[in-house]
Amino acid sequence: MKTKNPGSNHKKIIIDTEMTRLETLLNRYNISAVPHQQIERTVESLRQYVPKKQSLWNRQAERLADVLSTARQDAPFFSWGYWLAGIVLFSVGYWIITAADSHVYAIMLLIAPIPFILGLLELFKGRDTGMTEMEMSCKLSLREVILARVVVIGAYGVLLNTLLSVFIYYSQPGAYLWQLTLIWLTPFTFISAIALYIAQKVKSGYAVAFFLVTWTAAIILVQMAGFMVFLQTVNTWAHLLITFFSVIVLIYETCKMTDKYLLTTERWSHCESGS
Amino acid sequence: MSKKLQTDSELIIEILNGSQAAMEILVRRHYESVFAYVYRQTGDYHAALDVTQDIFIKMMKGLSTYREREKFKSWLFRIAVNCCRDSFRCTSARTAREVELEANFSDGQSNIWDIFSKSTEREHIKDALDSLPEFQKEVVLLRFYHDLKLKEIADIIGSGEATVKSRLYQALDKLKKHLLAGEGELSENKKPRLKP
Repeated sequence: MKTKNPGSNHKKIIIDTEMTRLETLLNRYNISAVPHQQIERTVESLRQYVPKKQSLWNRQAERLADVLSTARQDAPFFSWGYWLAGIVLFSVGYWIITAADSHVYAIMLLIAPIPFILGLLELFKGRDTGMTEMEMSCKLSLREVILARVVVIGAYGVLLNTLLSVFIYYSQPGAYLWQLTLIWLTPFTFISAIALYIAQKVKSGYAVAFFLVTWTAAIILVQMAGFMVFLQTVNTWAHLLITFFSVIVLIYETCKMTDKYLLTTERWSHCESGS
Repeated sequence: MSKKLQTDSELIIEILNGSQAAMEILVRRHYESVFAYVYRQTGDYHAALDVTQDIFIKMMKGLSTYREREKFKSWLFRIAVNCCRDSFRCTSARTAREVELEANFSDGQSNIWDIFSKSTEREHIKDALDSLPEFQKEVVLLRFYHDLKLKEIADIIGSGEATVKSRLYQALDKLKKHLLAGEGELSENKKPRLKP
């Protein structure tokens, strides 16, 4: 038993030597180990309360349903500015493409990852505003909330990009839906993966500003240097390969991030289990 | 290479996914601690075993409502404290006759256990703890035998931290009078008596 004083005021009445003596005495009231059979009996009686084992497929399906349900509940709490920024950005993008009748790929490449980058502000809103502790006290665990937010910002980005591709496909003769999809999917996944990694290291506001500036500058440079034509001729398999690895990194970073929050909330469990 | 010890939360996830083995580990990890609390509260071996089993049944039934944000030990002890309070209400309604009958039918194993537990000094400390009102005793037990902080105790018993502090102080003051005042007397009794 550790030496502890109940409070500083109490020292006035119970002096340290008395406290130590009391602790020593209380410590002598030890309880001997319970017979092994008694614990076994309890364990056996509890077996009926363990839920039936589910197949891996069912478990994953249930988990996915939970995440989607949380995402549906969490989406209304996103800032209206985030939703509006996405819609305005893609509307302007579509207008430039149809009005200027050129730079289709450059514009798509430029705006594809921006909804996800902006979404990082919403994803880390709690952390950046010091509200994580409060979020932890909500009914849902922070891990569930973070996963749900990644799903929301990912889905919003995919939705906007898909809509833009479909609109361009129907309004621009000679555009191929497959090619349009590849053009936005590759930068969307690639930049999202890097942005998610960086946003965990620095404040999301800085990460978003950094990515918006560097990504826009990169696209302008690519356009000016005449590399856009080269990008359009890149092999489909190369696009798919980059997308595949980016998705793997995205999933890995998401898991790492949710585990980090799980560890934060589990500090005590680690201590008590002695690990 | 040593295998990483699973945390309580990891075990709970496995239990909810149907793992009997995880349930065994979790129960074995906390059984002694919960039993010790209940035994010190009830002072009765058989009653403590029954109440401990009830606590673990309640734990299993409510496991899906457990959230990671809270330390599992605190969550479990909240169940233990409530079960002990309920048990007290039931026990106080029992007649002395029933208790006597139960004592007569106790098995050999528990008798040995009781003999061990009834050393004079332990009895003296037990009496001192039993003399405390229930609300003070539970605070002392949680603080001194289960290494819980005042904040955690406050969460477990559903009171404020200041209340816990005050109860602890009052309890320690009583224990001081009960245990330390009698120390001289106790040592006097231990002296060998000379035959007349």
